[in-house]
Amino acid sequence: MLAIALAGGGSLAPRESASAVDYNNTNPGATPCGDGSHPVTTLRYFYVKSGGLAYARVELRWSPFCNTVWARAVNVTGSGAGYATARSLTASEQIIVYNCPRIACVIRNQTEAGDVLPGPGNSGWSHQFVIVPNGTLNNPPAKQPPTLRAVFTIKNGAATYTFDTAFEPVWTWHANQFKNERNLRNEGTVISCNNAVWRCAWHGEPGGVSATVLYELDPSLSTHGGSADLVADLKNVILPGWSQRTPRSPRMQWCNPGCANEDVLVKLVPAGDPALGGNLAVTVNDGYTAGTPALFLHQTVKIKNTPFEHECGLTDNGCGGGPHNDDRPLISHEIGHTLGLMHCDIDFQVMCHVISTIASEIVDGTSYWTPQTFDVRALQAFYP
Amino acid sequence: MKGTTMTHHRTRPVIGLLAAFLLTASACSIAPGASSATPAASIAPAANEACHQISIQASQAPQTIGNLRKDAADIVVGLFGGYGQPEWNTPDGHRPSKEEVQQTSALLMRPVSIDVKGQIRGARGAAEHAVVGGGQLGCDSVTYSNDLALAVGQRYIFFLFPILNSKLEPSDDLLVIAAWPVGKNDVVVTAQEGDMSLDDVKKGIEEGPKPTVAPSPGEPWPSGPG
Repeated sequence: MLAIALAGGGSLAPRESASAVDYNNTNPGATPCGDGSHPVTTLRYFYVKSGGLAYARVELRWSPFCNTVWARAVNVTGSGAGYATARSLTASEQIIVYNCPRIACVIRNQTEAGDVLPGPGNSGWSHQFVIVPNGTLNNPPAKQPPTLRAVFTIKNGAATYTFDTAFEPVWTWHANQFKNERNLRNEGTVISCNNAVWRCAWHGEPGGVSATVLYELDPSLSTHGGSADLVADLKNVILPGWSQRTPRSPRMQWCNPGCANEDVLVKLVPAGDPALGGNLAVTVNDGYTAGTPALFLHQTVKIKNTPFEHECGLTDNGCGGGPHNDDRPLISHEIGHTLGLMHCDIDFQVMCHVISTIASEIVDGTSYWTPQTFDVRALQAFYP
Repeated sequence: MKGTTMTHHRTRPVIGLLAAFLLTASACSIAPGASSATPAASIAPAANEACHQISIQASQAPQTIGNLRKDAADIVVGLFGGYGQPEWNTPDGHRPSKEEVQQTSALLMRPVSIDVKGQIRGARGAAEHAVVGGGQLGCDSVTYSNDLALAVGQRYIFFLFPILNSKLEPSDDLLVIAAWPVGKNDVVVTAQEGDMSLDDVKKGIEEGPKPTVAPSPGEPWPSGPG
């Protein structure tokens, strides 16, 4: 379906509550999900390029209001250096919704073909689907949050370009050796609770309720030389933000240095720490129990000792771009790892915050320090 | 280690006493929404208490030329010859106890054989001290989430970063933090900036970080339907 950008973007108020309406397989532009009356989030976008020039931007779009997703292609020709000169394109947009990151887990699939995008800014989109419930994968089963994927075919005269977003977001339990980068993925070898070296690991649900995880806050956290108070941030903002965020995900406790039986030690280390390896932070897991999934025995969050400031402001409304030295998005991300969450490849979350430019497929996007919708979906899947 | 040989020489300074952590009175506090409970980690026995199973999840800044230029002390072009035997990075190479694993930065490291063909930054001999993290030694294993998968005989640009030993004392080791394949016609497969000529990568390293190209202001971001 074709829409001329901007002009007449709808301003209709929602006719009824989102939850009362089945929006599956409907035109998002004709519903409050995508008619402009409610915010739409572009979870991930990429550029379709040929000969080093960008022709289209392809997007996975999400309506928080309706909890629906769809695929959209935008004609970006004529946008300046690095873009093809202005021209008409045609596009087909396929949206596929899975309850696990495998082709066998497909739940919804729709293709909108033949959209004409006559010039810059014109877009075409697929139908929309409600995000499906969590699924499982492999045996022993690894619980999985739902996954989205879009496949685009862009035609420029006789030339045809196909673009597959691959599965987004892919959440792996703990440290499954899975590359979230679209071009590095190997879905055939990973994501299973098979208790190999890379495994599903969690803090469990003792007695069917939330486990309690004890974080020891090392004195080194006060030695970075910046104005941020890392201990206060952990105590007052980061740990409460993750604590029992879903009904059976872990409660978070903190303790002063020297406390006995901590589950996680949080500390600053010099840049040359061999575990850090040139990174900003790492989470080191140094023991597991037997069982599937395994329980974490002990972890250490190591953060590069560099001056930290609160550059992202007082409100957790998204901290865009990098590099910056705000401790909160960084440490919150590591705390997510200590709960068993790995990385993913969308934007606007704690555990993943990547975007594309026409020059680079992955650059820093917008990060948060409070778990966002898709962070929480993963937590819900792993602590059902 | 020189050339493609696999002998690795690690400086092993005299063991110094690890600075004791300041131990203050233990005091626990519960984050909002929390309640007191026994940590789940104490419930079940370890998979094999005699073995170290360590995994490291790295939160990595995008490996752009600009970022690597800031981090890498030595940058060389060379052929990857293979990995050496894993060694513990403790000062005397001893196998650490459980307590050492938790309280220090004891890890398995593998020497990397690089047949140096060119030097971009630093000392040509730096490659003799190149290591990567991780490996398996007996029943112990250390695994990095961003482990490099290097192909023997492939030419790479190696970015080397000086690291400390398990007790955070100076060592000669240089960690390979990135390795970009160099193909025929000197085309480099970069991590973020796509394929570039080797000369352009060298210029980017020597002359400064390449600016990230953001979407141009003129690019349409329709806010209308769909």
